[in-house]
Amino acid sequence: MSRTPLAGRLLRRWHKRFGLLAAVFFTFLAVSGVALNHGDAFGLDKTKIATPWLMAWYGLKPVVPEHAFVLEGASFCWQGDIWVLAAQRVKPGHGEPLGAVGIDDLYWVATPDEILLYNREGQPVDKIERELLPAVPIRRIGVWQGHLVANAGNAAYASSDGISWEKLSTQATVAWSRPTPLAEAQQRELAPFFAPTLPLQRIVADTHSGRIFGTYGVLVTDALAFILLLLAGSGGWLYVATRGRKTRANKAHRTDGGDAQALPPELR
Amino acid sequence: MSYFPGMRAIRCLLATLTLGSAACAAAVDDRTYLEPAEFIAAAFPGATPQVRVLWVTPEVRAEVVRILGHEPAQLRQKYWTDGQKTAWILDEIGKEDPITAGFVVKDGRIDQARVLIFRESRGGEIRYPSFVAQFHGATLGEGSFLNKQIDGISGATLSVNAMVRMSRQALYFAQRAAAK
Repeated sequence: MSRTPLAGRLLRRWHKRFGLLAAVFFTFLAVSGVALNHGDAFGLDKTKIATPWLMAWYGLKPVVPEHAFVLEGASFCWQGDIWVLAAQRVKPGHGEPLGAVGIDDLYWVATPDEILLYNREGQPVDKIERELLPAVPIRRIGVWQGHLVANAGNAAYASSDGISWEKLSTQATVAWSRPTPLAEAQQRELAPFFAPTLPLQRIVADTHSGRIFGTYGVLVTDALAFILLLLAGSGGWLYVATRGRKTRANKAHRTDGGDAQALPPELR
Repeated sequence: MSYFPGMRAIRCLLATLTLGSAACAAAVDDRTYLEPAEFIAAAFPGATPQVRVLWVTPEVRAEVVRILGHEPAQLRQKYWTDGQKTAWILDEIGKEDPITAGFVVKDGRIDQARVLIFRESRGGEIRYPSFVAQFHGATLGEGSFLNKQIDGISGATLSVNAMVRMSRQALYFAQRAAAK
């Protein structure tokens, strides 16, 4: 029969069980914690996750614009900093787009403070900012005889390259860029471009803290922290108790003449 | 739902701290030290420079990729010239956001360098005259590197590196523009 007190045996048994259970969670917490500490190096903040069920779990839904600027054989629409031009996501500018036109091989998109120029592949060609604009803020843009026209201040200005501008006669007939409603089918086609995303860093941080599972997840993480405290306490107690008994048993062992079998199994 | 009565107070404190941090972050964003138009006007006092464009051809692109370590941001680069010197306004990301800097190049040497708009949260010390003055007289040496050492700033390494890359790009563009 074991000479270990009942309380000690119970404590050892539950210490092992909780330790095993907690080891799985603590391994995850350790790995995710290290990943968060080195998030920049791992590129966690730059990695965007768009998995539909995960976004739905976060309550994020795609918001597809209802209007677009129709260009020569293409369209431009946007939502926040997601700009889609000719069925391609393009680098956005600053500010709310107020018009987009296509002239020859180039697309021009205007915001109140700048005009952005893209090629047919959606690559940024140039950005015309206030130092080269005839006036700001721009109110609308359009096309006149194959030239870009910007309406700014009280006048309209025409340019072929976005750099040199000439005041346009008020008699000129300009085809101004105006938003047109998108049909449902078009909106469905565009939906993937506007799918919500979250940085991987946010998802790892939420999983690490348990927030990804809402209030209960946080409570479970708190419970795990409490278990860690219990394990620390029971581990410390077991160490002290075992050490005391081991010392006493060793003393007795020496007195008894060195019979190894006299020691309880956990002290051998 | 609160876990315990003090939760509300903690939430209020956290919200205040978060909003405070956001306000501070907003305050440090997009610091314009000099408007690009003012930089151009100062670079050509008493004169109206011509605006020209340099197209990023495949050959130019290859060299720019070598200098910057990534694709150029755009395929057409504007510059200002009075026939003797050229002025360039360039953007480059330090860590996360673009830094806008202006360079004046004369006879293949940097005549002026200025940080115009700084959008990063740290590293703004590169705007100080003591730092940008180091670029004065720099030329493009072998391998499109600067011919002189630019001393770094502790805690602003990425911004310093971005500024050095832009200076090399400006010198290279000026070479190409002169060869046109």
